[in-house]
Amino acid sequence: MQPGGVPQLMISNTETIPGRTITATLGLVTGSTVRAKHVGRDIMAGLKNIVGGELKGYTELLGEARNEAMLRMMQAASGLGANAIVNVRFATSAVAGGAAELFAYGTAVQVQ
Amino acid sequence: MVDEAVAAVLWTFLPPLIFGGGPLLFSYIVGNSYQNRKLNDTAAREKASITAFGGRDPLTSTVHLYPSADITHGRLLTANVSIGPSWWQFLLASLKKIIGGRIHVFDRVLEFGRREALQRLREIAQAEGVDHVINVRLDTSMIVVNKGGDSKSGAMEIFAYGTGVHVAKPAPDA
Repeated sequence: MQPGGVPQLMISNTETIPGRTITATLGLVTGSTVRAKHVGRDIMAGLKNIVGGELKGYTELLGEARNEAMLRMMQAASGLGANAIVNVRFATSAVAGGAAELFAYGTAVQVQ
Repeated sequence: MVDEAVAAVLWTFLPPLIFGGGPLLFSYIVGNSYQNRKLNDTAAREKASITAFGGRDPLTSTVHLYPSADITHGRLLTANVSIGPSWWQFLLASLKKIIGGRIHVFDRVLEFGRREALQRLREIAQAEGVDHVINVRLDTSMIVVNKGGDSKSGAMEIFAYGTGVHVAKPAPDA
C-alpha cells in the first residue's frame, strides 16, 4: 500500500460517470492482487462445509482482496491524472490450489 | 444378560455412526434446517428492502432506466458472498452423477448465494441512500474446487456489482 491513502476518484461500471461529461480518455488501468487462504481459515471453512451455507471467512478475505485490487487500480488512474474510472470490470481466477487472483480493470478518464 | 446384548448392539452400531455416518446425519439434519432458515431470512430481507424502496426493486441490469429518469450522480457498489454445499449435499450430488440429470441440492445452494449477494447489494444501496443500482452484474467463481470422490469441501464466490445512482426528484407540484 502506497502512502497518500485512497485517491478520491469517481468509479462506475457504466460507459460514463452519471451526470458528468468525459473530456479526456487516458487509457486502461488495472489492479490485481493474489491472495492465499490461510490454513486456519481453510480448516474453519472445511468444518462449515459440514452444514453448508455461507463461508464467512472466504467472504471477508475475498472482499478485502478485491478492495485492494480496486485501490491499486485507483492509484494507477490517479498516477495518470484521471479523476474518474469508467466501465470497471472484475475477474476472479484460481491461480494455484488455495490461491486466487482478484483483478479489476477499467478506463481512466477525466470528467467535468 | 440384557446389558451384554445392549453393549453388543452399541459396539456394533455406535462406532460406524460416530465415525462414519454421524457427521453425515448431522449434516443432513442441521445443514438442511440451517440452509432453509438462511434462505427464509434472505427472502424476508428482500421483502423489507423492496418495501423500503417504495415497492420496487432498486436493482436493474440495464444501463438506462425505464421509464427514463434524470441521473444526477453515481458510484460503484459491490457485494459478495462465499458459499459451500454441505457434506450431505455433496453425497447426494455424487450419487446423482452416476445417472446424470439435474442436481437439485446444488440448485438450492446457488439460489441462496445469488439471492444473498443481490440482497446485500440492495442493503448497501439502502445504506448509501441511492435511488437505483444500474448495470448490475453477477460473477461466479470457484474458490475451492471439489476434487470429486470422497472430497467434501468446495466453495464458490458470488460477486454482485453495479453503479448506484441518484435521480433528480421532480418538483413537488410538477
